[in-house]
Amino acid sequence: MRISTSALFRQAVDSMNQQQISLSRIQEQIATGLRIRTAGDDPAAASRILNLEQSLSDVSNLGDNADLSFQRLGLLDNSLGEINNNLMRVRELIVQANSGTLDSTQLGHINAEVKQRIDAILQISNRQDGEGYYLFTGNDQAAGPPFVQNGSNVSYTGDQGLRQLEIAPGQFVASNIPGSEVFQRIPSGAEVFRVREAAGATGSLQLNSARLADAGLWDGGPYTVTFTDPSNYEVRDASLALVGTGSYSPGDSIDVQGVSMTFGGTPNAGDAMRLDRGINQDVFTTLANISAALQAADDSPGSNTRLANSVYAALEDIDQAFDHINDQRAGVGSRMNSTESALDTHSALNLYYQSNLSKLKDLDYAAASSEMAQQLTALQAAQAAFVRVQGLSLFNFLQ
Amino acid sequence: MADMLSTGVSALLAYKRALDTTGHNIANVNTEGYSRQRVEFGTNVGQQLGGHYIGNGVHINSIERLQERFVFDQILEAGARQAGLQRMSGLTSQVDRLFSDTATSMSAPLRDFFSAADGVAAEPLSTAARQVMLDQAEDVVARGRLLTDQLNQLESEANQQVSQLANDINDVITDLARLNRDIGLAEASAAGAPANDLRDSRDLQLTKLSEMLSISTVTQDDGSINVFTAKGQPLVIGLQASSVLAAQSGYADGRQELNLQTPSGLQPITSDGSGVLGGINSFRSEVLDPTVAQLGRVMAGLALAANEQQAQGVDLYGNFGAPLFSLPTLSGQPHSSNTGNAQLSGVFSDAASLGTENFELSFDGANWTARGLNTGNNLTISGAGTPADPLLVEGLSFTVSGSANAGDNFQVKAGLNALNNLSVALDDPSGIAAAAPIRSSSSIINQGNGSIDTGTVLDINDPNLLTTATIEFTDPNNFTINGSGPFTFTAGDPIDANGWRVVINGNPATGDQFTVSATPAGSSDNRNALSMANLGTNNILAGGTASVTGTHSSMIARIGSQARSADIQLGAQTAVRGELQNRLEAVSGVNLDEEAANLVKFQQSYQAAAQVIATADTLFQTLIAAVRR
Repeated sequence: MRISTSALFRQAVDSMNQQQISLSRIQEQIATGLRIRTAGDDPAAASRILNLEQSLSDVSNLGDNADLSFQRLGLLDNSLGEINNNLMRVRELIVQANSGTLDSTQLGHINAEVKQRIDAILQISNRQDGEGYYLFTGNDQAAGPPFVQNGSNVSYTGDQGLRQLEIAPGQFVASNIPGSEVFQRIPSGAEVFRVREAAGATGSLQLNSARLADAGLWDGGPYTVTFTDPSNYEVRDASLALVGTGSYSPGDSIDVQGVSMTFGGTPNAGDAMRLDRGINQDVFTTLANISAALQAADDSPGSNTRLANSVYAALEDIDQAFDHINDQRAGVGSRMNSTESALDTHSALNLYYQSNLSKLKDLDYAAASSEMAQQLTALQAAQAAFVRVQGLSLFNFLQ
Repeated sequence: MADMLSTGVSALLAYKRALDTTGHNIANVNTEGYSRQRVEFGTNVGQQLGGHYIGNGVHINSIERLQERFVFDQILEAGARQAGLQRMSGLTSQVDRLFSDTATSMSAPLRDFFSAADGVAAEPLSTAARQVMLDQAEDVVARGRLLTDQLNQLESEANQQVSQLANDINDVITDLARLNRDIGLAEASAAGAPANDLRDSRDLQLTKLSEMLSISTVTQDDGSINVFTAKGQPLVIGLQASSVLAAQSGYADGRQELNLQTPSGLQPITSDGSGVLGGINSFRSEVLDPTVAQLGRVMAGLALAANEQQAQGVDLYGNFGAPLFSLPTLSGQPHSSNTGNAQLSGVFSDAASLGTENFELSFDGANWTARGLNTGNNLTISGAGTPADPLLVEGLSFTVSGSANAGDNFQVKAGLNALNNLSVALDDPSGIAAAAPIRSSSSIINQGNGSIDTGTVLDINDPNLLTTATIEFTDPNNFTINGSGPFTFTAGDPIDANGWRVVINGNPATGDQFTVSATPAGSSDNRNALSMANLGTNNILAGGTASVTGTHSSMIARIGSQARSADIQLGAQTAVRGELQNRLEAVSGVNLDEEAANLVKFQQSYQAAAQVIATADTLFQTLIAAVRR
């Protein structure tokens, strides 16, 4: 095998060139800190990097959503708690009012505080979050404050829409509760049935208790128990057909269609009790009723009985509202738990993706530095060899 | 005595030639394409004298050019492949860098757009969040345009290279024809002695030509070389050079193709991956065109899906969402040989069917057919081309105006069109349709525990979709819708009416009412925005098997592996070519040490020959002196 002089030069130059290319690559890697410059450097890794970056971005979006949901749910939880605090206070006040020892002036003071509490609840019901969204209007934000007071009536202008956010892949959490579900969809009385004094009663007949003794007999009513005289009553249904009659003396219990009621005091002729289903009643109606009863107390005979019967009804309804709102609050709490555990998962995933990404993308400086040292040595060796070999020429000896 | 003198003189002359040749070799040690030359000596025929043959000196048989024809032919081929890969690799790595660099790639804008949609879902009433989404949509479009500009630049770079190539090829083949003639003349005038240096020049030109395109050569008996393209189109025949021309193909789309000029018109020259021309062709068909088509599909698919989602929802004004993106209209580029006056115009119609290559629509007199321009595969096509029954092909819908004749062809570059002309149509942030068009509610005084879901829209075009509908239970097992019915109720079964579907679960009581109504203006409902945010990962492309972001990443990975594979092949081919070059130079290359040795050798021989003459002279002088007395 011959070797031509130009091939000798070319090979030496080519090999030095190759080593310089490798060197410049390592230099660029070290300067940027990245192992992969373009997808062509490692197509499989590049595709994984893109997928990981997408996953990271997804996790970050889900994390933002979970954060936001957690904040909104926190505000919701606070507000529901405040409403219940107010309801508790109203309950205390009316129990106090029902002691039978207060005169109308004192009851007036109690009523004043009850009204304040009603206002407080109304304000909470129209509360807006930091971004201006009404907490309790569903999605119909454009309709303005969802609860509008008109006299003692409060009407709801919102809708029943939920605002859901994705907090984990495929897991959606609503960050609001429509006001209708918080304040309106509350059963009254004992839900299945309720007993209420009919308007216009004048005697001292006071409802002490009512229970469903035989659920099989109860059909939802309504029925009216009307006292024809202080010791006799008749029961009529919705179409005023006579269902039954009976006699009454104070302390007796009266059973109507499976509902067993005990009474104290003596009715006047024409006094009546109504039995019906405890249809949903909004919390403002409940509170307005008791406020009206307190307002109506006037120290006249029978006034205390009217108040007592109203308080009986109000306690039932306020307890229903309290339980209902507590249920809602428990729901919010469990949603907060979900978001919190989602947040934990996200930070774990974030770390996992980041470290994977770094493994694929980032340069191992130790390895790169040693590789660079190696390349430098190789280049120097090639240069030294080139100089020695090119120094050799027969012509040097032909002088 | 005279014999000795003439023998000495012949040696003197021969070694003078040998020294000249050695000098020529040394002088050309760095000349590209030079093959070392060697003087072939021959013994002069002896003279019969007194029954003996007396040697008569030396003569030069020939001056040989040392060459390995077989290796040279291999170098032509290897060099062609190397040049092709070099061009392919160079161009592809530019695309690779473009799509890998976060500053120019589409990944970040796509991600940010879907994040912004998620932001709107989180704060449906926030003008800021909505504006961000519009801005990100602009970013996606702008990034698409930036990428397109860069790809268009590569396209025009390739076009310029093809034009330049045509000039270079013409120069080289003219040279080759001239060299064929010169070699013929030179060798004829020298009684067949090889014209070494002219042959070197011709080989050099052949090497250059092979790096431009794939060629085959045939050596003729008269020493001339005929050159053909790989497909057998003649470039040089004897003394005659053909002429090549860079021109657009039948479609006036600006793409320069190399053509051979023949008496019967232009004939396209292809070069299957070899030579610069092959490299450019491979780059166009394997990298550039698929990349443009796929990126176009990603963008058009995204735009179609986003517009469709917009239409499924209502904006802050309570109106159905207007398109977010404005997609360009398409036209079929007619072939220059078309005889009909038909014109094709089309629109993007179906994201799931969008294709990944440019295609050609052909009319056979009765039916239209479509053929992919990269794969050559026939594509599914339906419809007649009328406005009522448009041609549906690759997710596009075309109408034909005018009349097409049999044999008429049209070229469609949908991806390029989408990239060049996509824009954001919506400029009002309130116009983003974040809310679903219907909402549901259950009456507060319902006695049963039935609950209604939020409802979904089945047919956005139903005229009664937004009419308030009341579902009332006439008894626990039957309900009416706005008085019509009754229908039998089964808990959990879908209830479809007026273009919507709701599901009621639980046990409604007699008289219970549920309402489905239109979402009002200003609603903070975010159901449609949630769907919008998921468009990126929903499988909306390729018949519902690929997502926008997935398609985009696999596209980048594909470009990356193409760049890598071209690079690896180039490395391998360079090694092959280098090895062949070494083999060739082992025979043809000049080694200075060898020449130095030859120089010494021939010099000494020359001196010795001179000494022979001197000796002959001395003998002669001796004889003269003897005779003088």
